[in-house]
Amino acid sequence: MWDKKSAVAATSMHIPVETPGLPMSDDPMPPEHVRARIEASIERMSPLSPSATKVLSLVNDIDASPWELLQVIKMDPVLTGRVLRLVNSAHFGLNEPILSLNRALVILGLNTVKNLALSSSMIELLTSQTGEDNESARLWNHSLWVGVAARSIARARQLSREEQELAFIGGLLHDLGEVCILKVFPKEFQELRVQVEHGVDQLAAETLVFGASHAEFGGQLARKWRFPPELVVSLETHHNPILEGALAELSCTTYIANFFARVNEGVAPTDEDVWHPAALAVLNLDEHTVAEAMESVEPEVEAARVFLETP
Amino acid sequence: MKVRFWGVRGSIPTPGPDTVKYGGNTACYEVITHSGRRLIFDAGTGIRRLGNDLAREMPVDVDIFVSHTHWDHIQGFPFFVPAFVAGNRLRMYGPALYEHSLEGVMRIQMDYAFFPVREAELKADITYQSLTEETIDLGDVTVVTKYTNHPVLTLAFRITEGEQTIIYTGDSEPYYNVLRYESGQGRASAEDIAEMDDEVTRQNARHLDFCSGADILIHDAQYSLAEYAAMRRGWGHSPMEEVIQIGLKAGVKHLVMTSHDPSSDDATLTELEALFQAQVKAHGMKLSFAREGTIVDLDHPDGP
Repeated sequence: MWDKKSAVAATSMHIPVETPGLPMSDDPMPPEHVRARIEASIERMSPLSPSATKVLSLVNDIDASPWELLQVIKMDPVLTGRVLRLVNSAHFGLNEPILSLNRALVILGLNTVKNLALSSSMIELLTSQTGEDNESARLWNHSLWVGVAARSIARARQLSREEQELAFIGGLLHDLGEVCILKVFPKEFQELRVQVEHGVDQLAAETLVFGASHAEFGGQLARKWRFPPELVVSLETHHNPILEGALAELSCTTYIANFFARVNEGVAPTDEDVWHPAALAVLNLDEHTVAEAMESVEPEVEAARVFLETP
Repeated sequence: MKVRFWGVRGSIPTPGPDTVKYGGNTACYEVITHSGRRLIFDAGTGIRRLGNDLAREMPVDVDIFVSHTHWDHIQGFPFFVPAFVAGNRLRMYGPALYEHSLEGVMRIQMDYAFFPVREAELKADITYQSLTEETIDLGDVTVVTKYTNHPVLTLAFRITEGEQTIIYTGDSEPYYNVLRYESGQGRASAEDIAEMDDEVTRQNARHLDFCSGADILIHDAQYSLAEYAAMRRGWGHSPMEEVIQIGLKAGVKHLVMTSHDPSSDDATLTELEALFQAQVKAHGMKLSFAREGTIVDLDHPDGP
């Protein structure tokens, strides 16, 4: 799809050939210690509310009732506030403020409120763990792009609304492991990112420096938070999709969405980033269909950004 | 003003010998104003023949209001001839969904997996405008919108020219308290139920207010009350008996019940129409079931 070798060659003269290094001190911390510190941080990380995971589980439940949804949202005042903020956004243009979830449900209906709760809790999950810095903003924009792209792929496959939402979440959260690293070693992570953008292999460099890759850290956190298995696996395998079994579809969807996001961002490809055409076969898609599905991503990302009032 | 019924069936087209009288095409209504403006409401399969009709007058300049983007309200658009011809102007209006613009949905519908002609081949000058609850002032005519109770964001339209008002509800179910049904039953707190009751009452009052004084109220009435109560609550459509109450309370002159259920054949609808006409006769409200291909003219209310 592109000339990988020349892309790497063009930048390699600026890149230290060996390790990207962790220039924290004269004596870099051994990777196993770095890893232990990140894992200790993961142990302490909890989503701001247990509601995030509950809302997530409601996505897969087509029989989720209005009562159950209301219970989950109401348990969490922050989530309630976010949902009501979206209900009262210009998007719906309601002519008087709605200050109660019960009322919002009557006016906008179950599906809309469910989607608002889902988006809010996923976004809260991501933004609560990241800062206001450039790296967090980049990560957020990238995550949103991959989420929208994954949903677009699911839609091209004519999957159900629930499966489309799951693809969106898989994409939105695929780099959760980067959040884990960013939280503990922001400076080092940023330095590594610069090199990745110049073609250094991300997973290998992360393993060298942090003792594990962001995919592994993401999987750990997702397990700890009891995400559904297909989500855990898609987080772990979004650079190397699994091609068989029940978990392959979401893994391949996230992989393809992330791949296109990186192409779109102009990130130089690396050896780890080989294109796996087999992922398309798993989804029963051809390149043309995927390329078409990607056409709608940019405007949808823009719409989502405006709607969610994110930067 | 007059209204022409191009498609009055709900959910899915239902051609065949049993639906000849009321028609099988899905939602499409045309309002023709005194000033000659042709306003189109919904783009179900009925819009195909309307498009062929308009094609004789090209170039045309039309406003198309989409109540919501469920299939039966947009599926005729790819067969709307004026959209493919340069020189025509189409202004599309509709509610913005949570994750899609109206334009996005129309584009998805014309994805090559569903339809052979690309959206790029729509040569007409087409603009899209997202609507919430608002007033659209077209000069000689105003269109006021209001959300209805339906599984996806849906708008009803109140069209006024001078002293005359025609209302089209799109798909619409009376608001009801979900906590009194399904899993909420017996589990929701009294406060929650009371608050939701209050909002339901408020929204139903707003709906009644929106419909008040209409010369013609074209209202979703897909099911009989028996069908509705049996298993169709929450599907986003109104039971006929309740629609009649709305028409009477709102002081409507002519109630046109529409969005006929695919399973309602001509015999069933004929029988129900006669039954309801007899019931409302004493109240002075004209009542009819929408019939594809017919025209209701406010200037000749007793005409054919």
